Amino acid sequence: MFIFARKKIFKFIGLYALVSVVCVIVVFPFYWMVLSSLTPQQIFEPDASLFTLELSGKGYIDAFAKYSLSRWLFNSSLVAIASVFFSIVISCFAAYGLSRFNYTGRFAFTTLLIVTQMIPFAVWIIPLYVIFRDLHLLNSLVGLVVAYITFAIPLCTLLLKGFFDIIPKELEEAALIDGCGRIGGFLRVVLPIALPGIAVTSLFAFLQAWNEYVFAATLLQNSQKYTVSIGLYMYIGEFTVDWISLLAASVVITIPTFVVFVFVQKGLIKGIGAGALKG
Amino acid sequence: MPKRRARKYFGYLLLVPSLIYLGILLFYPLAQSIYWSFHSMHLIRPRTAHDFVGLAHYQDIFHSPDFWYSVLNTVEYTVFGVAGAFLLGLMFALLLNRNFRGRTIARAMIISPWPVPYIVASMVWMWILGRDFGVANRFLLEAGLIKGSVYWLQKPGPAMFSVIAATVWKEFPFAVIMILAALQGIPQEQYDQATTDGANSFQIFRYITLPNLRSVTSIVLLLLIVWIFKRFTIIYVMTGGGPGGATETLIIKTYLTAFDYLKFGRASAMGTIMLCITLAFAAIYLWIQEKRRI
Repeated sequence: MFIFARKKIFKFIGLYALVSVVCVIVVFPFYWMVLSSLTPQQIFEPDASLFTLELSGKGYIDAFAKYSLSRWLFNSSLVAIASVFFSIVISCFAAYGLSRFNYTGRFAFTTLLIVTQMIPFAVWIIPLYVIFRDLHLLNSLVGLVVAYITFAIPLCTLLLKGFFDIIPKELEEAALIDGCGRIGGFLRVVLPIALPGIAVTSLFAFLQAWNEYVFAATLLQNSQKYTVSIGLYMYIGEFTVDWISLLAASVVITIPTFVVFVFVQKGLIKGIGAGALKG
Repeated sequence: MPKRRARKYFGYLLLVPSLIYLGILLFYPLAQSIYWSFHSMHLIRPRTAHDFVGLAHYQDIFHSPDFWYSVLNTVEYTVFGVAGAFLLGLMFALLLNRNFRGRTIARAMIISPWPVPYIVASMVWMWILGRDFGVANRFLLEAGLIKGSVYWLQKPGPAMFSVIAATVWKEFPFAVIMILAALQGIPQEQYDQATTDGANSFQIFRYITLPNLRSVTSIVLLLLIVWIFKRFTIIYVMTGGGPGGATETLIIKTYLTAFDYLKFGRASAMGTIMLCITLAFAAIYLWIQEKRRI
């Protein structure tokens, strides 16, 4: 009995040790990013310690004062919110159609959405660049929103379809009998119930737009138009890199993604499962 | 049945906005790109100068050693990236499937790289792997594992290793989430039964856990392949495809051909090749999904 208990304790300690080691390794890049952003100068010294308590907010002050970080944050928020809004509206229609009506082509359309998310953007951005050039949408946040909506639609439609699927059909049938039209029934009955699902979907789409890098880097040319992800490049000079401010800015732009992450954690499996989330 | 028909049309009508949008902004450009892959198309030449060149771009590409080098890099990057992300995902999911206090916190920490922007992940790994101030070199030097600073991003071998490491760190949480969900879907009775029958923990893993994971495994592997195959940001930011093309994967090469060399026709041909590969994987994915449903 005693041996058994001791074995169990060892097993228990072993499990915790393993979990701790794994967590430390996975989280280390975050730790190092935050610590470095708070310790100007010292981190460059060869004997700088992995742990230090002499912290300073200079990196953060520089990140905002010497660069247009606040402008980029504003641009990113604007682009993300606008693209989320429009893609949710367009996707709501399609998702509702896919969820409620049975017709030929439904499966084909769903398949199309899944495959669309797997397409390498490189095939797409080359012609898009030329089209945008001809339409004078290069170097414009409107152009970026237009592009982001395109890849948000498949994601949002697949996610929303899942949320609409679990709402009982009887509710709209009742509304239909009560004299609501089809559209009225959708707006007044289904939409309010689906609101939490729509919120989660919006957060996924927001994350996708906020984190996007390639399109922003290709389509935007003027640093006043930059979004956060390419703004980071401005911290890299020709000969030196302003690492401390760069890391401080990285922390700042990562915070919103973690906030979103906390809210979508539960819907994550569903979201990721919805045919391949983003690329 | 006029009402039924009206209902059907309403269903189609709802798809119209997204079909139009995707048609104009996604399918039309894709078709354009395929069209260009058969034409001579240079960004700074006037639009009228697009001559039909047939399969010339494709012939050029298939005859260029550079292309095959980037194919090799793509295979290396994808295989090791997928293997790393999958194995770590499986191990961490098995760990998180155990019952212990603080599991929620451990899970949140382990999947925390998932929401991080790719650009931030790339920058942080560049900072860690920096030649002079990088904590990786400092740590390895102090531990006596290396004699001098390793040029992580400046030498071909270490550069490939570095971009794969950063990619694995960013991608494995997806595998954890998917596999963990599958593990938690295994009925407890199966474990109880096995324990009653006197199975040891290895046998339980071999005969209960693994078979139950089979279908999620194929989905996770396939999605990881599709994604890592087209991953761009980490390599582009950390090494730009260098040194000397050592980390230049197909997608990096396609992008550089278009936007550095402005050879849009040739880049379109490379893009079309990538599209075909992706569609092949997509077909396998859909086939697996279909089989799983039955």
